[in-house]
Amino acid sequence: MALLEVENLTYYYGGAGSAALSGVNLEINAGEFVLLVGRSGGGKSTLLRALSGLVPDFYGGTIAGTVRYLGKSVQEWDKGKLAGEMGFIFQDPEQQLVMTGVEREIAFGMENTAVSPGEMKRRVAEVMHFLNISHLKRRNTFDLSGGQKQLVVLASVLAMQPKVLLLDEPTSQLDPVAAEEFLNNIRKLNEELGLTVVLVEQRLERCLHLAHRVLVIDEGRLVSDFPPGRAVKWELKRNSAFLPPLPRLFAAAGSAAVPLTVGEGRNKLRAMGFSGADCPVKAVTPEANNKCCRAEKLLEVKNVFYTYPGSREPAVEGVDMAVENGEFIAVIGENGGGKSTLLKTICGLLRPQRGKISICGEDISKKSVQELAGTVGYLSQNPNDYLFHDTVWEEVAFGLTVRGIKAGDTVEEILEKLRLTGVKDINPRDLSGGERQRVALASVLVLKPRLLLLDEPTRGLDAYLKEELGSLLLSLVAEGVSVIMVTHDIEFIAEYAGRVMIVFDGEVVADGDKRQVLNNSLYYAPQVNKLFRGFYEGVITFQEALNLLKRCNYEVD
Amino acid sequence: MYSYQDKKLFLQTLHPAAVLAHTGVMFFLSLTCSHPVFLLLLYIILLLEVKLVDGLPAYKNCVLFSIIMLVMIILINPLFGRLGSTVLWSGPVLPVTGRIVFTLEAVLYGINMGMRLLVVITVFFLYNRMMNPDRAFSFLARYAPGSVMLITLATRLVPYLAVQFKNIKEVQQTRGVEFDCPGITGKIKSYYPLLKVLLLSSLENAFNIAEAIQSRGYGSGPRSYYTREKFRPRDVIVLAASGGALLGGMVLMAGGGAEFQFYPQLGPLFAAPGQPVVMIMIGVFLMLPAFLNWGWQYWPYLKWRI
Repeated sequence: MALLEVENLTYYYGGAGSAALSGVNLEINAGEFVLLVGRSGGGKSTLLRALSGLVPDFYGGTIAGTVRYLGKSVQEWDKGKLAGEMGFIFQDPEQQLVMTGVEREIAFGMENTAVSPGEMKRRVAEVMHFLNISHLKRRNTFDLSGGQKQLVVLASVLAMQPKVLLLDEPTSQLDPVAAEEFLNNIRKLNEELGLTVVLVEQRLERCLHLAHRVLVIDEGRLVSDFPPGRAVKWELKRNSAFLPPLPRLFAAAGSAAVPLTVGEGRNKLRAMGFSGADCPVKAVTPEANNKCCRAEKLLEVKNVFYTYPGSREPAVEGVDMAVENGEFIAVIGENGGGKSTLLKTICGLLRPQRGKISICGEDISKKSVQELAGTVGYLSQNPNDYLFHDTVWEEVAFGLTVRGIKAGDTVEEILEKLRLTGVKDINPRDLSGGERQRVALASVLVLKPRLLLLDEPTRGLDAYLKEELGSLLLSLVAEGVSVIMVTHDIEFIAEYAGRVMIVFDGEVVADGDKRQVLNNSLYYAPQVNKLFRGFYEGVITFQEALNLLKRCNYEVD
Repeated sequence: MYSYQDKKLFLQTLHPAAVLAHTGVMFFLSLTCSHPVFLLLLYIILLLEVKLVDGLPAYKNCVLFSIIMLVMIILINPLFGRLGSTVLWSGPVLPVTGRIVFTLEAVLYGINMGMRLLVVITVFFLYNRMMNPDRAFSFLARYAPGSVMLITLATRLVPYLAVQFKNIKEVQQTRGVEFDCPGITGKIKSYYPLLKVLLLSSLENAFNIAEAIQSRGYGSGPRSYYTREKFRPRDVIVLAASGGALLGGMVLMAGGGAEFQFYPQLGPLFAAPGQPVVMIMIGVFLMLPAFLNWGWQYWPYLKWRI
């Protein structure tokens, strides 16, 4: 008997006209690692909630069909016992923590399911040791980093000794290091403890190889259910974007056997006898550097220092940079390294204690943020911070109306450009995450800024939305807008950015063409670069890698 | 903004029931007794205890934050109050409100009200410094799990709201909203969108937290408790002292000593018989935690005993 059985499940959220899930049939066996992929708003999270009983218990709505756990409908299970059997981890660690102390937080779930105090002590100690977070025991949850918070949430769920772990994009708010650490722990739990894992994730390059099965959910329907290798081929047939770069590369080059990891890919290259010396062409194409032709200095940052009040160490230290019209710059580096602070000093939200920032040759120290807003557009990490009007149209027009400018054609033009015309009369809070992101961006772009500052805009976006964002940014760059984007998404910047800066501990430690900075980087290299390391130098984008494989005339299979 | 920091101080080691009793009695007395000397006595005791929980630097910020409210109370009362017989200043006749008259009694009454508010604010500050919210949660969840969860989440939300407020304000500034504009209308106009975003986001966040809590089984049945709170001699002493102070307050109220006559003219400072003695007794009861704190620090025998 399967551990989880879903039979003909259809579900409508309260007041919704269309089904969030439609006729889903599924079985999950004990010890399986199942990866759920699909477009944002396609029904992945709803299916996860239906497995745990939160749908319809917490959300209401109308449900048809059944979800059974160990042969018994989840609706018939005692809620406390079911919570102990199935652990659920959500996207945002901030919104899962209840207690202020780490130790108490880990015990919280066990207290709710009436585990005895002696048993709780033992489990807290064990789970902290297992996840290597014993040093956090006395810490306050408020003072932890995002990655540490998510590990504490995982510890709290694990302490309840669940048999199934349901994870809804648990790494979307984490930096790459924390995300990798988190997923390694999940892999360990699945392999060593036999925990059944159902994971919804957008960063497929990190987790596809971990899964036993990949389920694709599209518009509420389960459209495919295959092991990773077959799932990749199926996705390729559909020309889907839900594929990590490596399998896509080999499949596009005509390979029958598709490697899932960099290691497998390199073994394949070795087996093919691949040698860069045999290649007739250079992989590097300098013209691919995304920069528009008119080169005028737009931004100049000279020896800028910024220290937060109450802090001894500067968050930004001696930064020098110059940006020309139509440059696309990615700023990468560790969390808390000063990337966002740098953006805030450029748009005037923070005033540097030392140094000078000029935009279009004018010193900005005497200009207010509001004055700069017409020239510098700033998109923060959270699109929800922008949304408060009743319609998308009003939201986008706000930047103009607040300045007393008549909003009309400009708003329509921006809505058209960001494909929001169809939802212009809808409340922005009723839109999906990707659409909210576009509305926030539209409300920045409506002021026609010459310099666009973006703080982690790809966070939580699915592969299609990332492609859309990338194309949009390239079109802006072609119009002469300069883009500075803080991100952890190396695959995205490898494809779209022209220049990359690495910020470490407040200082710029690398700044140059993306090929110079990303090539052979220990940590910040994209997957295709890691694949060709030692075989051929300077491969950064997917197309370059594909050209290389094709031009070398190798029989891939 | 986040006020509790576990520094292993004596007052932080008290049982949640003792902390609740001690601060609860002070809160009750500050609301029921308005005698200026008594309020001053309460305030001195509170300041001493704030110092003992290492909270004076943070308390200064807290008081500065509430100073505008205190000044408003002190000024508005004489502005609109028509009571009092000792006229200090007589102003012009205004439509609706009539002649502005400042009397000595109204000014002193306003100051006393301000003092009472200060005491109430300080009681809450002290509570936040003394009581570990997790211990309070575990203790109170036995009796009213739903309400306690609500209060815990609301308290926990404050620092997050402060961070969110700052982020949203920054975003609005970059969209061209002017927050430093002169005039109250302009300020309301600029802050309205900000508060709207804050409210909408808080509602969404509250929903997410509630879902996460339900998924971890909260409210699904009887709970167990990770730690068992120890009830030590120090807690018995503080509970008994709080009871004594409460009893003293009742005696003071019954004898009419809890009030001071401001209108029509100021009465004698101590009008009721035995009034100062009862006040001193209440003071001694309320000071007991501070005395124990001293003993805990400097008297090894007492430390061992309590």
